[in-house]
Order: sequence, then structure tokens, then C-alpha cells
Amino acid sequence: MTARDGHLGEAAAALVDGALGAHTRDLALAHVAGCAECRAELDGQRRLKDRLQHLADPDVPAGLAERLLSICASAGPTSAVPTVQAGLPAAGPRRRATRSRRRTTAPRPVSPPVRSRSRRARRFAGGVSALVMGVAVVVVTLGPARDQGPAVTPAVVSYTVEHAQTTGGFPGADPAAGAVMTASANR
Amino acid sequence: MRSLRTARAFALLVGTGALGGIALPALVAGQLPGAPPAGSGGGVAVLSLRAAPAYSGASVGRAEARAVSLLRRAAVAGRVCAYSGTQFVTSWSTAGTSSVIVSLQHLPGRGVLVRLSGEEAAETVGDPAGAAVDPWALALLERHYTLSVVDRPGQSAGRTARVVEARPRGVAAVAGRFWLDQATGLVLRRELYDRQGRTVRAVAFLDVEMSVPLPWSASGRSAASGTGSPLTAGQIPDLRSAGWQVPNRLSGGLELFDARRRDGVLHLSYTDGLFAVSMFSQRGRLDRHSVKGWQPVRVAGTPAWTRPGLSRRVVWSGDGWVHTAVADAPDPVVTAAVTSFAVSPHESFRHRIGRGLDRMGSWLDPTS
Repeated sequence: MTARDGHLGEAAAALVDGALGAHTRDLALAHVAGCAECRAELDGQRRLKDRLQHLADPDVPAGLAERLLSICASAGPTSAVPTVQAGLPAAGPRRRATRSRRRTTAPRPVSPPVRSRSRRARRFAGGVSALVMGVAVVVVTLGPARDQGPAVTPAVVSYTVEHAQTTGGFPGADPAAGAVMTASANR
Repeated sequence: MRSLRTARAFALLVGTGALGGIALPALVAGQLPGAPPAGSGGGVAVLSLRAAPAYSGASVGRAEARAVSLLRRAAVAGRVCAYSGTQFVTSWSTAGTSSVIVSLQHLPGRGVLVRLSGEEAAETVGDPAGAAVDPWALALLERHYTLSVVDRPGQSAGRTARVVEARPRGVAAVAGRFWLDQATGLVLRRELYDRQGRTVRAVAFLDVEMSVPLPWSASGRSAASGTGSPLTAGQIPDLRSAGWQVPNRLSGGLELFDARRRDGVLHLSYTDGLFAVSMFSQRGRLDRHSVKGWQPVRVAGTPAWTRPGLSRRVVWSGDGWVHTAVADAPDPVVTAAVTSFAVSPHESFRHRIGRGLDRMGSWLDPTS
């Protein structure tokens, strides 16, 4: 450890990065258990690392999906460019091509385009209404539940001990987990 | 032709509405469409409550069987070995770090004497009955994780150890690592990690002796609080009929492995073999004074309160029930588990709709 004045100092960052050897790491963690100052330093380092990790993910520029789709559209239906990209909806030309194939095999009676658009609009509006109704029922059904009955204070300390006792016998579990949690349930 | 088109349009409307009504609750509850309902009764409940076939080791490779064998030995060693030493337990969550140092003395048949660093008072906790490792827990660990033994022996607390690693199936990142004493099999060190590889829990001996200074000090206050009587799989349907929430599994692959009831409190234990979450349910509404100083959060749209520590605790209430979750798992696992429990996964879709309609009715008639 490169600790100064008995504290972790720069070793806190190395501890968060997993850069310490096993023995040094154990000593550092043992120190942290009894030192609030180093615990706070450790928390700060972990938060900093979290932020840096999030910064490392570049944001996808707004409108990128539309631009990619427009490239596919301009390439035409015979293009070798795949029309379905990961995370993107199917591109227009392929869907149009499918429809045109359907028309050749089973032609529909020609109807005035205005009436057709109107019918599609009605169907769309009906579909949206049904979806909104469905979502409304779901939201109401799964919404916050109402509180009722006598006031209860959960015995959280006792629950914590019971949790440790019932799970302490797992393969690879800490054999003394129940005992440790019993002694430190308020921590 | 026109009537055919009308019929098709009608079918489209009904289908869209049904999709909105059925697929969304399933997604909110964290279930994939087509998956069995989380709380449905039947065979799964029997499997979940430790009635699964014993682990045989026949279905896994030799390397994995070796890792399982080492873990089996470790579970037994924790109960039959006499040991004493100093151990630290550290837990990390988004809310902060919690850590303790304890001195331990274990005498087989008597239990563990534990004393927090810097404190005089000691507690004794009896050994669990039996010395055999639960075959169901091993099978579950094997089902969810790929187990392997690191080629080179490791070192922990000055002792040579075999290191076993657990990776979620299909994932390269290690979720758990165990240092098992080469001589005795005892777990010397145990670390759990989140999906980003960050340590979320570490338990390790700083020093350990495979003996106990005699006479074994049994002066500690007995902390055996009891855990209630275990329930059988046959009792679960009755509990559900009486309104208790007993899902067979929670989001994140956590399966019900133990159910107990004591003093009006139902204790359900869930695990994927590595991470564990306990759910405690009781009738009533939460006394808000009891969570003073806790951090307010929301669980499935319901106000809840959480408190970090060596184990993470989350408390919430609704519909006449108070629920408390206690977990040793990364934050995302805890959040997913608590959310899936909070949306009443055992409640049938018909009941949910009925509850929703009741609530809508109460808007029209506030006196109801």
C-alpha cells in the first residue's frame, strides 16, 4: 500500500480498479472496515469510476437511424445493403417489394385511392384507440396499491439474521454468515 | 368482400387491444411472453422447494464436476472444521460501502462464537442441522453458472487455496470467486461481482487457525432467534388461496427454495445458487416511523424505503401487506427481484383486471 498517515490515500483508486494484490487488498479492506474517512474515499472513487465508464459510451447522434434508412432507400430494392440492421426497424424498400410481389400473385380490385386512405386512417385510429385503452387498463391495474390494515413495524434486524441463517449453507457461502450478520445486523 | 374486410378490421382492433393488455403486464413483470406465469401453482412449486433430483455430476464436464466437488467439500468443511480467526465482511452498493471486522471461533456441534472488532460482547450461533450440502442448491448453481477451477492455486490468509470461479451461463464475466483451503476445504475468501466486474461483496479471513483455543468460550449471548418452521410444497397453494404472495421465481433467475412462517410473517427465500434474496410478508400497512432515516425509492410505482448495509434492505407496503426484502446481491439484481415481487406476479390476469376495474369504480364513487 502506498498509504500515508495510516490511510489508503492513492491506494483507494488502485483498490477500486482491482489493481492491488490479494494480501494488500485484504489489508486495505480490513482498514476500510474501521476507517470512515477511507470508506468515504473509496465510495468517491467508485462513483468516479462509474461516471467515467458511462462517459466512455458515445451517444448515438440524433437522426442517425433516419439517415441510415435514407441511404438504404436511395440504394433501391436491388441493393446489396442489408435492409434490416440490428436495433433498427425494417427499411421501407423491402416492405414495398414484398407488397408488390403479393399484388402480382393476388391482385386486388382497384378502388379509389381516397377511400382507401380514409379506410386505412380509420383502422389506424381504431388500433391506436384500442392500444390506448389496453394501456390505460394496465396502468390502472398495476398502479400503486392502496395501503390498509393495522400499522406494522417490520422486524428488519431479525429478518436480516434469518436471511443469513437460511442462505448460509449454500455451496461456496460464507460458513459463518449467520453468525456475522447476527452480530452486525444493525450495520 | 366488404363484410370480410370489416371482420378483418374488427379482428385487428381486438388483437391490438389484447396485445396492449396482455403483453405489457408480462413485460412490466419482467417475464418474456410465453414464459410460464411466475406464481402459477403445480409442478414448479414442488421443484422449487428442494424436491429436485439430487445433483449427480453426470451432466457436466469433468472440469465443472471438479469445481462442484470442491464446493461440496467446502460446504461440509464449514460445519465440521474447528477454526478460529479474524474475518472482514465488506459490501458495496450504489448507496455506499459497509464493512465489519469480526473474530470467529467455530467448534463443530457447538456453533460459532462471533465478536465484532472493538466490542466486548459476543454472540453465539448454533450450527445448522446436518453437515451435508444441499444437493438442490448445487444443482441450481450448476444450472445458472459455469463453474471452473483456476489452474494455479491461490493464496489467502497465508494458506494455499484452490480458486473456483462461477460465470453466468453464456457470459464471460466472473460473478463469483471462492478461495477454498487446499488442506481442509474451508472457504477462506469469497467475492461476488456485478455484471461490470465490480466487487459487490467480499468476505475473507485475514488470519485463520484450524483450531479453537480451549476451553471454547461459550460465554456469548445466544442469538438463536429461530427461523420458523419450514413449509412444505403442499402448503404453498393454501397460502396462495389465503391471499399470500408466493411466486415461484423472481426476475433475474431467482427461484424459490425455502418458505417459512412464524408469528404471522411469511419468509420466502430465493436464489440462483450464488445470489440470495429473502422476502418477508405480513398483513397490515407500513408504520412510516419505522423507516425514518431510510432512503425513499419507488418500487413498481409504489413508495418504498431502502437501507444499505452488509445486506441491502427494502421495505414497502400496499393492498394490506407489508413486504421486506433482504438481499446479498448487486443492485440491479435486487431491483429486478423486488420489482417482480411487487407487481404481484402470482395474481392472475383476471384478478388484476378486476382490481383495476374496482379502482376505476372507486373514482366514480369516492365513498366506496
